[in-house]
Amino acid sequence: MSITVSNFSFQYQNHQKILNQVNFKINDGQLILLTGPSGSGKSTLLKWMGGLYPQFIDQKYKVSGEININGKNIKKLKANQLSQNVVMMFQNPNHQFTMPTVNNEMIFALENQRVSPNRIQPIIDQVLSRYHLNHFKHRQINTLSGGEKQQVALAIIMAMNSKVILLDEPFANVDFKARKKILNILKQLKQNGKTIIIVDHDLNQYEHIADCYLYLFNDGHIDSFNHIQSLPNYKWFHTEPQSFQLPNNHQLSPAITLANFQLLRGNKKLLSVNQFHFFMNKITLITGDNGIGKSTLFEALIKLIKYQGDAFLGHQNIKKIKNKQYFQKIGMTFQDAEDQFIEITVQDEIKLSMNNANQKQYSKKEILKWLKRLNLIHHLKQTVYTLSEGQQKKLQIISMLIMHPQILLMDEPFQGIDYASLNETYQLLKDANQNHHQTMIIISHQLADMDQLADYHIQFQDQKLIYSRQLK
Amino acid sequence: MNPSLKIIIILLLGLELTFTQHIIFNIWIVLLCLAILLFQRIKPKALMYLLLAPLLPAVGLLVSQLFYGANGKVFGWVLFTRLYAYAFSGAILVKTPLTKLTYSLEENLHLPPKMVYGVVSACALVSDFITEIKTIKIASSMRGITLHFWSPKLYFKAIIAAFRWSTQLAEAMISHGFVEEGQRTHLIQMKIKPSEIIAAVLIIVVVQIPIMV
Repeated sequence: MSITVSNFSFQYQNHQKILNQVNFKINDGQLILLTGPSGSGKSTLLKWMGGLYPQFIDQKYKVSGEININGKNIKKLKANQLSQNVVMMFQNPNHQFTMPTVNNEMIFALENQRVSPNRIQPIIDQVLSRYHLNHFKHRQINTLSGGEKQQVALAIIMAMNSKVILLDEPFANVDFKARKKILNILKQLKQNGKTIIIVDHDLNQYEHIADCYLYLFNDGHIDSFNHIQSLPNYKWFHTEPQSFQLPNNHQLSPAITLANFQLLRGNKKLLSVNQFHFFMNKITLITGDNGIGKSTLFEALIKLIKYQGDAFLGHQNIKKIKNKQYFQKIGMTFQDAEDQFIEITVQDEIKLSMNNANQKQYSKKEILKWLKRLNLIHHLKQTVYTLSEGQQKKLQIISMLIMHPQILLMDEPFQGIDYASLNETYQLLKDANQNHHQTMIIISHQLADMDQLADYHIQFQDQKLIYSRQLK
Repeated sequence: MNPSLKIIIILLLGLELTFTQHIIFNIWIVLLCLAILLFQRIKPKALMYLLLAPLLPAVGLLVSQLFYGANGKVFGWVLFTRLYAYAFSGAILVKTPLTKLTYSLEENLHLPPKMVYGVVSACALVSDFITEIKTIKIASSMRGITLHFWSPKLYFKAIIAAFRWSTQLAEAMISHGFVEEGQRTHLIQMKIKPSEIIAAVLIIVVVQIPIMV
């Protein structure tokens, strides 16, 4: 099926245009990579193509232009015609499933497609065995990891056998091996005549699979490229290898120590270390494949989930520190920004941190300076929930730095921050470290120029944490 | 037995319990349900919970009737046993798998699929919700604010999360082909067998024994 988008524009009322005169055509059996800065509206475009919008827009908006599927205006397709032809997979692996088990969810999807009852179970078995997912069949979905959920979501899409497949960051929680496997599956589907659109920030491995590349700019217009090398963000994926120093244990004081520490997800062991130190007054970067347990480690350190063994803050076992005192010493910027916010507006959020800071390290003047440099100064009266992803991230960072806990854990703090602001954000973190002795431990997929920021690099792999010189 | 039929029996009995002032009848229902629960191998812990949870409200009812009620001591004990009869008859459904109940409500009672599947997917969110509440509390502690279960902020944040999730779930249902008013096929045919109807009638009759004799 071909998809034609012509002169398509969309914006929320009193906001700037998210999509601005977008034009492109995708032919039957093509695979397209849609990329561009976070928050530029890629998911929005996908939801319009999938027919979820305007149904799920909850504020006033303006839209013009057309989206046609096989020459038919998408607005004129009936809900069931649309669902038979277009399927979509979402960015967030959670909250994608209606039924409790994998098998039941697949039955649900196929029943919706009005597949006759005697064919349903054979289709499910065939798809699961084809993609080596049989062992998931009777698993409870809420016991699967994010990456496993994504694989199941893909299997459901395969079973539904729609002609157009829209994938919104399908690899966000999937490791390198699984990513390669899934891309191969998509290549086969394309050869079978499916039309596929993938939104992805990571350009790796698309070179021989994609027919065309679309780049959605922040101002809402789209450019189309035939070669991956011409994409504006291509150079970010070909950075030089970076090198880091190894810590010298004797000269440093430990910030957090893990002792006989084990971390599990369900029955699967994620991490097992005899003794490991994170160090004071340093910026430490943790990298590792998706789903390996980086965020889970942070969740254990903030006592959100259980772990085996011991963790020490300085020399104190964290189990013996009362929560109230503990959370004055350890802070975190959450991966999901909305978990962070307490107040409604940006300025109240900042004021809260200024009033309750554990140590008054930042003067009002200094805070204003940083708000200016981070381009937040004109958003002070705005509701935090209406900020873009990148703005939310910057607000999270500055609020937690003002709080000044001894140790700040940062889970994907740069997600959605555009490249222009990224440099300022690095400066802010460097300043916090050098002038305010802020200890930081950072998980990040955004690795550009990390050797300029972080002192040490920890590689999380094979259930181990290892200080490493290299970052590729 | 067919889950919808179970629900109908429980609702009918519930209605009858409400209008019957008969201690033996109440106890008889508790005993029958207990027998079924033991037959289903209910866990001792769950049984303890079932015995203890209604105790406080039941004693409350009893005491207020004994000391302040106009209807006398016997009525106090009727209320006390009635509460247990409600709790035990409701517990019969616990062992019914959620999916089976879903299919049955959709196919036998013809509830709108929108409602049936909406409830099922919401049930899946309960464990996420507990984690979310913990996360909100921790995030607040990190900003020097202690949230208690009576803090409005906790609920405000929880409601925001719930709204976000409900939209995500609704979008996901649609992308898995769900159409609100659309027709669906059914893999598992939830037929109500004649024998089950006979069994249901017999159960209702057997329950009446204490009233009849």
